[in-house]
Amino acid sequence: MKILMCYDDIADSKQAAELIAKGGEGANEVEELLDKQLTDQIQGLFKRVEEHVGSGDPTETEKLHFDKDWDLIVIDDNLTRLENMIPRVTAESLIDYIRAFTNIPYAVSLNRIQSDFDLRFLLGDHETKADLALRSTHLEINALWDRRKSVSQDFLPWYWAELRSAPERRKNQIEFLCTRLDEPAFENLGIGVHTESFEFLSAHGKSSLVPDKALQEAEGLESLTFSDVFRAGGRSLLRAEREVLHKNASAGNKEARLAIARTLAAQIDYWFRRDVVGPQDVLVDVPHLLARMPFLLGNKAGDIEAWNETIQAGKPTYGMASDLYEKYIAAAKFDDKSNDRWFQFPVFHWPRLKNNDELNELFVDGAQSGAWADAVFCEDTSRFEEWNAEGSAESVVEFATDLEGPWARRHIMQIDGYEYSPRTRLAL
Amino acid sequence: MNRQTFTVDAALVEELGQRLIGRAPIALAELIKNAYDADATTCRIEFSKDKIVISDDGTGMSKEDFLQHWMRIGTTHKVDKRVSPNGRTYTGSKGIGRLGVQFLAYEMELETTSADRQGGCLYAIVDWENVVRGQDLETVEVAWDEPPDAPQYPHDSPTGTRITLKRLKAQWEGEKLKGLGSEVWTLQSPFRQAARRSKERRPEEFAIEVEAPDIEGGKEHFDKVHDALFGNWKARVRGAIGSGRARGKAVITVEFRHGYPDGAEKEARFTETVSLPVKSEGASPECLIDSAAFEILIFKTTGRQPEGIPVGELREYLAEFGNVSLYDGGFRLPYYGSGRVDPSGHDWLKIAQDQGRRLNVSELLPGYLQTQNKYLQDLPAPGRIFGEVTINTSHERKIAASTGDKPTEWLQIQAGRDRLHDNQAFLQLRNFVRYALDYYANRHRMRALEATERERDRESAKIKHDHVLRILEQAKPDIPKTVFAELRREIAGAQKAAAIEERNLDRRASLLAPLASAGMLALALTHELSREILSLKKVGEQLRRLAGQHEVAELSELADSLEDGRKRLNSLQNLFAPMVTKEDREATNRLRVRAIVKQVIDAMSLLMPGVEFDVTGIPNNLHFPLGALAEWNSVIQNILANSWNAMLDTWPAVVGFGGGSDKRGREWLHISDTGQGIDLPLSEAATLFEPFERRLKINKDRRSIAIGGQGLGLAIVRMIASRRSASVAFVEPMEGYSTTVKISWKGSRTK
Repeated sequence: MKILMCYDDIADSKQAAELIAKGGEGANEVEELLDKQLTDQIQGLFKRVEEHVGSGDPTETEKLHFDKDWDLIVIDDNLTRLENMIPRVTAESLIDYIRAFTNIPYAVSLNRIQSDFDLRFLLGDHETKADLALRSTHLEINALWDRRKSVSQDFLPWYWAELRSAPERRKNQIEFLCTRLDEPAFENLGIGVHTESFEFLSAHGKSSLVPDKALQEAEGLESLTFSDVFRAGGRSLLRAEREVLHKNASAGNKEARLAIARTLAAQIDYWFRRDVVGPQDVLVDVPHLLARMPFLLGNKAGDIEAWNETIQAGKPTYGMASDLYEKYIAAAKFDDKSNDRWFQFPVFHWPRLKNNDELNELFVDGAQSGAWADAVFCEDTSRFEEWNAEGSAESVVEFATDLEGPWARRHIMQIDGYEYSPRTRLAL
Repeated sequence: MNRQTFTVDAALVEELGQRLIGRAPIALAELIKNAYDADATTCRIEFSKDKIVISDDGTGMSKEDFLQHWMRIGTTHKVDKRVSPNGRTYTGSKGIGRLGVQFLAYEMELETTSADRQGGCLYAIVDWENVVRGQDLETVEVAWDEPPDAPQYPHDSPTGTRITLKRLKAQWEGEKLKGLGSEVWTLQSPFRQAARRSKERRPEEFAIEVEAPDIEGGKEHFDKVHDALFGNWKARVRGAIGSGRARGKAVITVEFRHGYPDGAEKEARFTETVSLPVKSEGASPECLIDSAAFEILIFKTTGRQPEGIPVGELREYLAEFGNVSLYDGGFRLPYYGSGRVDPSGHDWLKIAQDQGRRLNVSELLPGYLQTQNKYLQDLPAPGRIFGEVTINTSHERKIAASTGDKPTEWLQIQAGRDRLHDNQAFLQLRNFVRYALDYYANRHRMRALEATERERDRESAKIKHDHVLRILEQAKPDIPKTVFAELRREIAGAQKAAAIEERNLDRRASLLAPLASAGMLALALTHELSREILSLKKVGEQLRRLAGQHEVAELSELADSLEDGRKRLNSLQNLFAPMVTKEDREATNRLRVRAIVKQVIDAMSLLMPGVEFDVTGIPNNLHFPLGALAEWNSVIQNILANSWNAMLDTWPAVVGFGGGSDKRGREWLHISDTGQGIDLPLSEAATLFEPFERRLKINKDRRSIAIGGQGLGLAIVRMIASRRSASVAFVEPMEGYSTTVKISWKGSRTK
């Protein structure tokens, strides 16, 4: 994949480029944008922003280095050493605009996060505008780029997007949104307002996609369009900038429409991660489903390796016993196209499974048989591990996330050399 | 001598309009003001794509008015008259309002019907494009006629004026409508805006109806200034009673916004439940009101107002429409609250009267709400309140008649339908509303006092002592000489002691400040360390590769020691980890003791090599009192640092932890070490928690490996513990240890 990397320091940049090369095992093609060249490109970008949402003329847009066919941009957050760059910039101050006004589908910010693992929301950094926030040390982890290369007990947060496939998925999201800006948002995202799954969303989840109460009340959540979602606010772009883009898009400006779709894609992706899948109470993924219903593994439920094989299983029945999968689980699968568009793993409507009496009976029968491995899913290694009994070496640790709903307590392996925060979460 | 009169160039009309009007919203506002001056109760403005129609139900213009006044530019009859037949103060005076039309459109149609021409109208058409620069004004013609039909005026009024502007010059959007709203908001009567109907309107009421279906949020933009102003109340007083005649009680609520009165920190809400009558007047102890409700908004008529409204405009507006009005079944009784009708009705709640006689405490509030302060002077002047009281006299009559009461005993309207009879029931109603306002004044004073107290808390001891001395001096004549002298001496002594304490505090602050700065920089350093750690890792890997390629054992060793160094640095970073995130610094939870202790040990073990830690004595379900992770982390970290320093000369070095709870529900954590022990009796050991207290004897040779040494560690432990309602003390050492510190707190009842 083609990666553009922005740094204000040559040595740091070189080091990060080497880590990317190491992590990608030859699959990554990195170009470094540094010093004056980076300053010029950033200033060119700001000029373009002014042309699109300020007083300039968008038809005068000059070509920038950002416009080449990149899959991914990696930006060091602290760019304060750039000469002649006033005001000082950080990755956070650039990513909104790179996303909206260039073709680069996916953005990673480096070294803003204070620790390696986010115990609070399982997002990495819940405030970043980037699609993924990493430390540069993470770049050398092979499985960050390709999850198939995951090794037992390696640091690999479940919440990390796989960088090999994330840009393509984002392009798909943008294309989808671009033609549907005036269509109802929730329904088109596969979670209609009148569905059971929507009911299971937390109050935060119901309102965070359209954080404008007046608009929610005036229009009714059901009829809110993607355009409404964009205008209501969010993490990217200033409100005034959004209004200008909305006005231009309404007047038929294709560039403005595209900028809206790009911004929206990141915003909705974040909503899905934070509010829909994060709590594992609306849509549930395979490992969290198995942790609740180990009997779905059939006669392999006692073998922890069988549990782990489900994690990378790419197609139905995702490692589950096929009779059980077909009978109970397949019908709860999130619509295939939406699943591929928004998630890197298969997900299922949890309310449908939760309320299935037969599944509940199977659970009770299975639990009594005692034939299941005592396994927990570790969020920091993306693997199941044996749950240690009280008083043991405690390599697996339980912690309390700040996510809503009944599944807030999760587990980690606490890999040596990696920082986990906030630490309060480990003592709750 | 020849004589020549001045002639006026037709372009002067444009020039005048430009200079006197300037902008489109002002031009349109002038037309609305004309409707107001014509005693209209409604002015309707309809915006459509290519025209604007302004119509009103005012007195209209007769042919004479049209020809003598309207066609004469700069006519000053409004200045001469000042007040309209219905008593409105004229808003227009320059006689040039109609000139502003040229900003709005190229063409204007005027239709107007006065009382003497009902059924028909006067019709005129002005095409501003006919006004040609260079021609005399007198040559500009306005075509007019008197057709037999009249257009439709608002609410089918028989008289009125309708102006249609065509071929518009400006495009109207939200901002312009907001501009229009801010020009004319003061004309609108605020009473019952939503429910008003033209026929119900009193002559002094004026409403502007905006219809702009093609302008997004048009009506909202127009009302923005008005709404912003009314949303900007500082306090709100509400009261209601239902089924009062069936012994129902009244509820009064007073709400204050943040920052009101000045210095009040949080918004607040006070509620009182009262029985009517609030004061037994005359012979009736029974409640004579069945149902009533009121809401009174209190504004601050000084300082900055929302939407940039000049404060003078707000004052004038409240002077015109403010005070507390009374509504009977939806109709306003104009006697109450309006200064125009009758001054005594204006002050029907007797607020101005009580302010005039400088009443200090309420005659209505019960004893428990009385304070020593002169709180009634905080009653809001009628010029900064706006409110309404709602009753229904026909409902009151029905309820009262069913119980056989006499007419004097219910709220009864007078024949003129503008006021109520001054009977017992009315007195009860008035007292009910006044009670609420008195309650407001009482709470207002209380909040102001609290704010002052808060401010006083921030005053230095010296200033406080000065206050006391000043009061003492004032009271000198009332105090016996000897007592005065003794008090003065004592106060002077206290003042001196406080000065010494302040100096000590300053001295400590000057020591703490650099330490705090060092702490902040240490946090920044930890973040930056990540880069350096990464570099170390890379160099180590390169060295290892070279060592392998060239088979040089020394290089391999070098790589190992670099890797060790990197790991050490990594671990050192952990010391600061609890300070990095906001949640760890600030969130308060009941955190598990064992988890915290283990985290601290992990971080500190690098600084305390060779020390054995035993945490098995901490029950897994033992929780600290509410507090942030950073706080408890700091407590344990400082105690461990103290233990380390105490164990520098002793061996083996063990730190043991124990915890539990006693029968009284008190929970505790013991931290014991095998160090040198304390050289004080336990009864005096509390002094070790004093700042800068350094009793520990550290061998000079090992001083370099001690942690801290500022004499602040235990002081910090005590400070945090007491902030979190825990106590900390040295206790009899546990078996096998030489020192034990005990932290104890009240346990959770829900455990």
